[in-house]
Amino acid sequence: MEMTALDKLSAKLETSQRKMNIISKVSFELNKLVSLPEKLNTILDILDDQFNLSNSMILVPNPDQQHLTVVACHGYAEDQTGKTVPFGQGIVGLSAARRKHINLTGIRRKQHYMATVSLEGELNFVKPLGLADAESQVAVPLIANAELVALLMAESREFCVFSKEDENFLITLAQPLAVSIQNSILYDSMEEKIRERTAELQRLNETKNKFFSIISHDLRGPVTSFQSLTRLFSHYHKLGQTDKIDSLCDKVDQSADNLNHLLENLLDWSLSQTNGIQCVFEKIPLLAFLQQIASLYKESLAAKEITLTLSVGESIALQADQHTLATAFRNLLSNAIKFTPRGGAIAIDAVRKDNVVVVHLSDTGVGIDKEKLCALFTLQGQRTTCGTEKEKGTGLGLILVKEFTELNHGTLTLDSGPGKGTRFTLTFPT
Amino acid sequence: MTVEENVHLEDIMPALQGVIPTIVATASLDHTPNVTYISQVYFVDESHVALSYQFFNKTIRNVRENPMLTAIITCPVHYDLYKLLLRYEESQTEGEIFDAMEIQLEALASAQKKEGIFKLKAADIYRVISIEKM
Repeated sequence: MEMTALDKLSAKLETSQRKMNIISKVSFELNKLVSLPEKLNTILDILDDQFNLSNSMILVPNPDQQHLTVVACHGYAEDQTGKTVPFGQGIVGLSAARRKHINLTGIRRKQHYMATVSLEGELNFVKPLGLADAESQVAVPLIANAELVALLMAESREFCVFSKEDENFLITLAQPLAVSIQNSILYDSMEEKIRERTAELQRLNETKNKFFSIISHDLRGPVTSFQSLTRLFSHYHKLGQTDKIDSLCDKVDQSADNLNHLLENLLDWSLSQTNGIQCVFEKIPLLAFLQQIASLYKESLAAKEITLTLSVGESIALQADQHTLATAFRNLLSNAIKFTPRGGAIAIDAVRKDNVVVVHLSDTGVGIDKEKLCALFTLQGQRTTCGTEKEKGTGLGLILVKEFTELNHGTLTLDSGPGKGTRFTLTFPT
Repeated sequence: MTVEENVHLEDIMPALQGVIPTIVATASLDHTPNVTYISQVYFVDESHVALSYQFFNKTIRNVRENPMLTAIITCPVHYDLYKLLLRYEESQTEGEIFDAMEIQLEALASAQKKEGIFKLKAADIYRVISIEKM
């Protein structure tokens, strides 16, 4: 009798020792700075090695809290990772939904019994993951700060595999596991946020650099030009050469136009970069709208003897924001004029297809080579290219076209090649 | 509780997991016996077990009249048989025991998409009077 008691005590001590070892090993793994899946797989390995949990998995709830997804598994012939189970379904789903541990054995017999007493006879066992013929299953929700962080599930084809003691031990392990998993998830999300912030800062830095680059290059030119013109005005005035002063007026006017266009683009672009543009969508009759845009460039077209053809049905209309759409088309047209040689042609046509309007703007210009095409809509390495008659630009025009087309829920593509002109295709919702 | 030497509820835990159905015998107030099978006898603590009350049947009616119940449970590991003499104490419709029994029932039912069919009315708590290895 005494020996039996001693044996029992000895066995209990041995079990306690073994459990302490498992806790120690698991704690060591939990403190490692490794990715969450790697950490979880190692923990499942330890549980199998020390605790004979030959088939086990850890699931995490989806953000919608409607399903659980397997993030780590151990001992299955088929990889269970990525499989899902709805909250409330089966042992795993119900344990998650109720946030209570469940330990069952004799599962299939009990289900046969249920099927029989419910008079439905047939067994329709739904088990979307794990062993299809499991007889024992234990599910332990891992909860930290009152939040379901994950769920540990172990199963076996044998009966009575998980004793009350095993169950209690898994519940003991659940707390540090939950905290560690929650910390890892938080750590991963912080890392993701840092990556996002870094990318945002890089983008803002590029914006700032571009801004200063435009100010230093493009604004300095017209200002210097104004300065020179003022000196010339003063010089000719002193000499009393009024005819020369008259000839300078055209140059002043052209410089002022360029500067105005540059400032408008710069302002629009700055607003778009800081999400300062509020679109007001309205029905815009396309033909009248394009005629108005074209009238702004009447003189530029005439100066280079370029013909502009508009082939747009009167009934075609877009749902768009007037201001941003006008900026996009102004830039497209001025760009086409800039790169079309004297005597060339520009054509704009539009057709309605299902729920979209497709607009083409084609020119007989110099076209764009492949290398420039890739960087056409980005700030990287982008510098303005002079037109066929050395017209200056901002380097912002096409960037604005793309951004503002997208702001209007549209798309922009282009087809171009050196010497074969350029054809822009824009689609907008009707 | 008078139990056979060395036999405690904790020692026969596998037999209390419902792998093999339990035979239960009750008697009405006029001593009419009734013998039937039930799915599982649940462990509560060292001197108590619980039986699920899902449907009002002859067993439930008998123990409400005559609280004594005999259960023969089978260990699925060694196939040892144990005879438990039990006395009905109370019916619990909430609390830890009820929740644990209800969630097991619901887990099995939901895996068959039969949620809500097997409603647990109560967890009937029995004191263990004796345990005899057969």
